[in-house]
Amino acid sequence: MSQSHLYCTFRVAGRLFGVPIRDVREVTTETTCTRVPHAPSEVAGYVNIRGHIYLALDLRRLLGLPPGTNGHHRRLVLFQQGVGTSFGVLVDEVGDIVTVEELQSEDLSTSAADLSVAERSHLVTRLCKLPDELLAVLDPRRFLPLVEQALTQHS
Amino acid sequence: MTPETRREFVLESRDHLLHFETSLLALEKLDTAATRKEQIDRSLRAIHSLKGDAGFLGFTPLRTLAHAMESLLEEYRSGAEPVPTSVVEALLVARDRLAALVEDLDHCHQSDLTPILARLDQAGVRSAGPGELRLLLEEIIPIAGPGLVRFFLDLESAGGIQSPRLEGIPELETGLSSAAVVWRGTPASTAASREIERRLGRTPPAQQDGPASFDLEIPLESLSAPNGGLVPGFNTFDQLGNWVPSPFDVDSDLLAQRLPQPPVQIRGRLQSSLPLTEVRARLGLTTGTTPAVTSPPAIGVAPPESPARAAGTVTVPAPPTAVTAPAPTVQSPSTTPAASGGVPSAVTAPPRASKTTPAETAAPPPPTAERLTSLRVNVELLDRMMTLVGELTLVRNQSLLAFAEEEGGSRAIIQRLNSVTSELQETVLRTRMQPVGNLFGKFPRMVRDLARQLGKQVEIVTIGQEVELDKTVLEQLSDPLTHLLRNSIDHGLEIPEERVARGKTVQGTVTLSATPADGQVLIEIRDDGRGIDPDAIRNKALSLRLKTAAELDTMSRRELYSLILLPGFSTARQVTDVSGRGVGMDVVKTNIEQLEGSLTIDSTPGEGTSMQLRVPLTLAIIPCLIVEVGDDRFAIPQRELEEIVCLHPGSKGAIEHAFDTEVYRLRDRLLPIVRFQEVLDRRRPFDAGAKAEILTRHPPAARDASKIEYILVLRSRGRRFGLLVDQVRGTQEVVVKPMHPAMKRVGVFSGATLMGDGQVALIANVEGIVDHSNCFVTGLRSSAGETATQARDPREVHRVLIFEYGPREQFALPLVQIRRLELIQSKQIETIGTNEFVTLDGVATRVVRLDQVLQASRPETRSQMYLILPKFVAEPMGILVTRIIDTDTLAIELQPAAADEPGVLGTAIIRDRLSLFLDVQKVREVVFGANPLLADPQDNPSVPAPPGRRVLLIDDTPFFREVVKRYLEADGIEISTAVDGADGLQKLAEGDFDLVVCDIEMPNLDGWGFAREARERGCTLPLLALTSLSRQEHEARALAGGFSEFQEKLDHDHLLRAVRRLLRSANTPALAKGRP
Repeated sequence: MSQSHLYCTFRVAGRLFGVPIRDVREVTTETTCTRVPHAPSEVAGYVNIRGHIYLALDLRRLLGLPPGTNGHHRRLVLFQQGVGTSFGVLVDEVGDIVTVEELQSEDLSTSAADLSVAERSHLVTRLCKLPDELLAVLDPRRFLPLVEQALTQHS
Repeated sequence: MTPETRREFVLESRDHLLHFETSLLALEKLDTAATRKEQIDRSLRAIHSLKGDAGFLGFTPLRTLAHAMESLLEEYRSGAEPVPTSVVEALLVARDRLAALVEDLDHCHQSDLTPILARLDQAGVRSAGPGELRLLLEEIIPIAGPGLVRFFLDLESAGGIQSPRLEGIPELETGLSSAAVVWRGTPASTAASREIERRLGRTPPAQQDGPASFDLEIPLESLSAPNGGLVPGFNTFDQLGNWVPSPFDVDSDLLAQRLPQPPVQIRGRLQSSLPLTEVRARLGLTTGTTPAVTSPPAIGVAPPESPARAAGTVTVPAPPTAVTAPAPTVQSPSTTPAASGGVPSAVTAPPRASKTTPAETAAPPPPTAERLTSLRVNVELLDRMMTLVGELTLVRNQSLLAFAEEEGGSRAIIQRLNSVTSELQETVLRTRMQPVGNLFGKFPRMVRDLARQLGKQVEIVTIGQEVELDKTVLEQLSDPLTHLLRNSIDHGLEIPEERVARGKTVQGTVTLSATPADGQVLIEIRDDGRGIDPDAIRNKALSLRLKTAAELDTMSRRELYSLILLPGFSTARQVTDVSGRGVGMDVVKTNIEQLEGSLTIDSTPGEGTSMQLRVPLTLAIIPCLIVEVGDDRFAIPQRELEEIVCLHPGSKGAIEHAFDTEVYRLRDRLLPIVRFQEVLDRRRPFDAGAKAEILTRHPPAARDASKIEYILVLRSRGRRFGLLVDQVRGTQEVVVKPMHPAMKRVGVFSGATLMGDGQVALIANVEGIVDHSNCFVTGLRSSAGETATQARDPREVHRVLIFEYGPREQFALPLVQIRRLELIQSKQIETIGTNEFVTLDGVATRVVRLDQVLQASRPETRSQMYLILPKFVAEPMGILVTRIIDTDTLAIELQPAAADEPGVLGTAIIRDRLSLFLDVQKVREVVFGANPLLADPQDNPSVPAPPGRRVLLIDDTPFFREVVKRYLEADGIEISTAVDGADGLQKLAEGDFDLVVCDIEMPNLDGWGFAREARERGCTLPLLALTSLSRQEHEARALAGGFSEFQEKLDHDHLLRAVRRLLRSANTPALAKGRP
């Protein structure tokens, strides 16, 4: 009996992505983002969710996908504190929660995570072969280090 | 006795005294026996604990006084009768005396307590009046046996017999007379006379003269069961004696329901010739069935418990006047209104009754938290805990990263660590929050005393005691609030006759309320007094030439009232309604502003005045200017803001180019201009290329003449620059939230905050902007020259209080060193041993006469004087002042005083008079001796710094330089001084030092720059940062910026402790923890 995993899925630039459900704290509609000058382009800005300030990252930028046009329906996926301090990612639309058998997916993570070498290709850790489409599983723990690295590089 | 034990005793005693006082004051307002009894019990507990501790530690005078107080109050323990005002008064005076003794344990053995003990005695006599004791010798001999002398000694020891004497002793020559020999003496109190009566073996006449009466409380059930039903039970009852009251009423509501639990009790008084045990036996009651609620004294024989009766019975052979007077009975814990009236009620269901009792609901909540649930914790320990929790959070974050990939066991552990850390952090933050009730609690006493002193009737109402504030804020609020409150009572409220004439109630009301308001706390002091006449202020302002008539016309009423707070306005010499109002308002305002708070005054003439104080919940809230650049909003901390210049089509000034920088002529000085928009647009710090680009983009001629822009004149590192923004939206107090950890590298912002519309705004970091724009780095020589002219005048500007003690000298003290000014009557000064004290806020404050500590002339005796309560002095002390001359903002050229003139820091000419600047710490030392609190129990730096250590002191202000230098030199440290960072670096290179103590805000090179530069040059010495404001964010920055520690400039004890600590460990490499 193989293990199964639960993923929260969403779409960015038409493609299907997912993150482990236990990493997700909540999904909200996008509220107004306050841009942070000098921050890398992956940073959408600060948002206020019920009195707490979260850092919103632009997943499209983070994944190096072409800039989108439909910005107004975007959702914000917030992660658990254990994943990183108060942050979330902006996605185009939120999909279902899917259960995937471990056998139906391929592990892409080559080495034990070395977060100091953050590369975009490392963001996708697993590919799941759903009946009609491929689901790219992302590791949200790698998002913030990538942003920090970008900030260090250009300053 | 170790110093710790002693300190602990003092701290605990203060607590006990506070509780004693609060309960005693509460007592005056209560009108039912049960609530009174509760408060009396509290008071007794407090004073009893103090007595016990004092006795144990050998402070006999304290023990004696506490004992006398306890005995006096003991008389009223039952709560049956109200405690007379005279008794409360005597107890309060005794409390103050006791407080003075506690504060001056060294001299407590020398103090003469006779007057106060006599007063307590007298209070006891007048109220309960134990009569003179007169004993016939022949009556005594059978009891005393042969040891008559011994018997009398015993008798006297039983309770302070006053003026005992024997009468009728025959002349020895004439032989023994047959006349009766009588011993006379007055017992000190009724308690004493009761004790004597007991020793005499006398039985209360009540039992001899008539039926005794018992207070009984019997559950109906136990009455019916052994007697075979309720009716036979009552029949038995009737046979036993006279039951008062016989009919018992049961609430009809109650009867409609089933009998409630716990069982219905029958309560009342039984007059019976049978002893109690017999009564119980006949009723079939065993001791086991005695309900627990019946308090032992109530079951016992009542008569001796009544003071009145006791007084009557010992006066032998006087007729027993009080015997028949039924003592009011009180059944604890019953709170029925009937019980308080002395008429016992019949049947009550306790839970129901207590709920509906008006006394219960009217009783004020206990003013302070019960002591049992709280614990005294050293604040430094709490601060350290805060820092450690901060570090723990970092470790948590690191572990989260490190174990991110782990599946299974360790992951769960890390998750748990995560949640525990978050909760811990929250909890530790909360430990600093305290209810304002802790502060408000001390005011009723002050108000009561002041009201009596002024002959006014004042009621103080406190609202919102539960509102919480940061401990630091709360502490610093105490003095301003005291002052404002005094002001309201003293000047705001009218005397009773005037109030009546105006158709007001005789009693004035002062309402003290705390309300949370937008991340702040609003504290309001409102009185219903005469109010302030705006015209009077207007005229005053005109006569003082503070404002022109035109300016005054445009001012709102509130603005007009705010003039009261101006220096000079308040201490003006003419006594008018207005000026009297404001002695020391200036000090209040300074203190509130240091808290980042604000004070506004509003008043309706004839109806009252409201003073509103806004203070931040914590110091993590700062006032900011909200500006707009493009479409974005930013908050600029006001601390760094000096002024705002508006560039509009009509303005003459313009931005000009000067080599590689844009400049603006601000009053003929060149101000470097930084365009905020350009700063935001450019991620990299400006280099020559970027600067050139900016100049080309904004040619001087191309300015859109119709556009309105604003230049914010900001100060950073002792230099000014102009920040160009599009729009100024006004000021706002913002709650600082730190930058997201991933964004920490963005240097131009220091944090974020939520605006009223729910959007996030970034808080600009002014220094970060300077760094980013490199606006002070320029190839232009003239700009360097501009810096030089901007360097501060060495004659530093201070706000000082100018005052007089003796007729010959004028003294001065900077306002930053003053906690409060207090107007006192000279008759308030009490002498203990050789020392003088005044009780302020319940604390015995040592009065310092300047002619006794330094060479100064003696003043003539006056009935009214002022006390200056200095800051940063651990012991309660006040410097006596005869006349407040003024407060003023002055440029002072301080001439250091000669070393043989202790207590004087230096001299300066103020208003054509030579003025002496006091060295508060020296004065403190003369009065109290070396500070025992400097002995830090944690790392024992009671040992002074090793001799021969050299310290480099860098401070640009001569005044502070002199103050700090003296502090350190007094500790045997050799001091070299430097006037700014650049000078400091040079001195550091030339000399050999063990420690550098460095100011932060300085011209040329500030403290941050100095630390960075010194560390870069490989300096491993400990660096101690000093500022005039203690701020958490600065502290973090100082530690990150290469400083080893951070201290407040004038806080003598902490400063000295830090220096000693750093010097002692100067050789250990662990100290180089802060690296650039």
